[in-house]
Order: sequence, then C-alpha cells, then structure tokens
Amino acid sequence: MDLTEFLGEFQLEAGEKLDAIASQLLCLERDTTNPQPVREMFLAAHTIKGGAAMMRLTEVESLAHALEDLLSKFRDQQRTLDPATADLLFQAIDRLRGLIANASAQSVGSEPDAALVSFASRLRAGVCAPAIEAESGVRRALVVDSSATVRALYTLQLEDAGYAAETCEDGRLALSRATTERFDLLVAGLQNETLGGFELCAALRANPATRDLRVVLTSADAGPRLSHKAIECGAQSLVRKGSLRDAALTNAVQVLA
Amino acid sequence: LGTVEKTPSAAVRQTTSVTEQSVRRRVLVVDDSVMTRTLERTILESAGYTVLVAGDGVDALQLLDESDVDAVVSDVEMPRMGGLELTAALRQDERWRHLPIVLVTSLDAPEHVERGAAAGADAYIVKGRFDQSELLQTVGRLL
Repeated sequence: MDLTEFLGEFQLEAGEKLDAIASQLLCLERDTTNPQPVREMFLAAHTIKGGAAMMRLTEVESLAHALEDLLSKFRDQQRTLDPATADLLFQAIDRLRGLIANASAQSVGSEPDAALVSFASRLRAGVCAPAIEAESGVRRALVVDSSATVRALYTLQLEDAGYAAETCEDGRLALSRATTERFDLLVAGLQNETLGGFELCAALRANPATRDLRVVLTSADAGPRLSHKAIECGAQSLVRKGSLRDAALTNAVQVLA
Repeated sequence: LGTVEKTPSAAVRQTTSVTEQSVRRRVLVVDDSVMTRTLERTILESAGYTVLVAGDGVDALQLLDESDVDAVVSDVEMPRMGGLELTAALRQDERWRHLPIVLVTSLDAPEHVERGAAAGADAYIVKGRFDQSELLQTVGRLL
C-alpha cells in the first residue's frame, strides 16, 4: 500500500491543527500565564510532526519539530510569550500552512532548502531577528507574488543582480517577515492574497523598522497612473511584469544599488 | 468512538490477502490523530485484523474494559493519558499483564525508547521509519 494515499487526510488534519495552534496563540496573547493554550499548541504541533514523519514530508516534519521545540520551552515555563515571539510563531504557522497545502507525492522525501533550515533553527531557538544574516553582508531580497512562476523568475533575476532572494506568496506574511527579518529589498506584485503591493508598501513606510526598506512593485499593466500611485505610497519604482529576458526588474534594482 | 472513520479502499483490500491466523485477532489502535488511526486501521484491516480505535489512553482503557483485545498499538503523546501511562496502567492489571503493546511514535531518542520499554511495551516503532510491513511484522510477531 502506498502511504501517499493518505496525503489528503494528512493535509486536512494538519490544516485543522494549524487553525487550532493559531487560535490558541491568540488566547495565549491575551493571557500569557495560561498554560492550557500552550499544552494544546504543543500537542497539535506534535501531531503534525508525527503525521508528516509517517508521510515522509521531511520539510513539514522539520518545521513542525522546530515549532514543537520552541513550544516546549513555553510549556516548561522557560519562556513567556512576547509580541516578537508571537510574530515568529505566526510566521511559522503561515510557512507550515503553505508547505502542507502544497504537499504532493513529489514533496515526499524532499529535503528542506537552506532558507527553510535557517528559519527552522531560528524558530527552534526563538530568535526573532536573524542577527547572523544581518552581519553576513549579503544583500537580501524578498519576492512577494501569488504566482510561483513570477517568484521563480524574479528570484533568478535578483540572484543575477547579486541578491540572496527569498520568496513569499502572501502579502501579510511578507509584512511580518520584513518587520522581523532584515531585507535590503522587497519586490512585490500588486495583487497578493490578504495584502496587495500598495497596502504592503504603505504599511512598511508606516513602521520605523522598515521605513527605509527599498520597495519595487511589479504589475502586469504598469502605466503612468499606477507608477504615480506606487511613488505616492512610498515605493522606489513600479516595473512591468515581463519575460525572463525582460530587464525591467534588473534595471530598476541596479538603479537602487 | 463516535467518529466516522474511513474504511479501507477496495484497492487496498485487493493488494493484501487475509491470513488465516489473524482473522479473528482484535487490535486496538490508540492515537489522537485521525489520520494516523485511519492509516494504521487500514493496514491492519487489510491484513485481516479486526480493529478498534481510541483517541487517547482514557478511551482505550474504557474500550479494553468492555471488549476483548489481543494487542494494542498506541501513540505516546496524547491528551488526557499518553501511551506510556496507558502501558504502565495495563501492566499493573492482571488481565492485561501480558497483552502485547506496540508504541508508535515520533519520539525516537534512545531515552524515549528506554522509557517505553521500562513502562512495559513490547515493541517501539518510530513514525519517521514507519511502513506497512514493519507494523504488520511487529504485530504478527507478538501475537
């Protein structure tokens, strides 16, 4: 029997467990001394880890394991929840949700990439800002787009331009990552789930921690009106989405560098 | 216990033959994860076992009180009562002192395995290495 037959079942249950973790995290934020939400979050993370291990979804397993380890510190009262750690936990939930939703027979046995390994170790240690990455001198870019093709395309172009590029499909998650990690550049499409490019840019400008982050917005139908709006909300530029050979993004990024 | 769970698909039934000696054997699967319960139940039923399920140690003890069970396959970390406590409770009761108990868990550190053995479990299967044949061989060996 092929265990991947149970993938759908795993996704359904893990999704419910993530919902439970998110709602318990909100409870814990309201009362950080209550041990009950921590116990429930820990068990839910443990269940996701065990299921992922059985399914050989190594990426999900490693992230759920790191989450479980951090939660065990709350359970054992070595830590209490602060806003930055709550943000980190929400990021972990969002990342897990993405990995679980996209899990398929192809994800079975696939090892976590460097970005996921680095996030998992940061999560396990409960480190909210990646100090080591900030000191390494490598310029980091975050690509936000709901399309996997666009994310892959821009990652290539940014890497060519000398950036270490990370990707994110959701606007709200991008805002959270930009606030808690250090990026030198954010490239965002206008139409993203939960938070569009204009709103994301405005939110970054409103926060002292991200006020100076350079932002390039991308759109399939760039024109004077949209460019004007992009500048208005604080973006450095708006480029038209084009083909792999299209140098619009590379040019925009080089102007900034 | 009050929940509707998937029975094995026709495809799964076809791939495994029902073995004579396991036809009437009853295995109790204890896990708080519906997915894991369904998966283990499907594997065991496809090999001819009758499978009962419980969501934690407390439900398992109640089911054991009410029904005949030939082996227990249990998770370790569960709400209310985990697999180690369940194992220890069963070993203290004359009726279940020799009941085969298999722990299936993602806790794979040596001290966890030792704790399982100390509580009185007969075998320990790690979820990250879990497969159909290991579960069936382990249960088959103990029965």
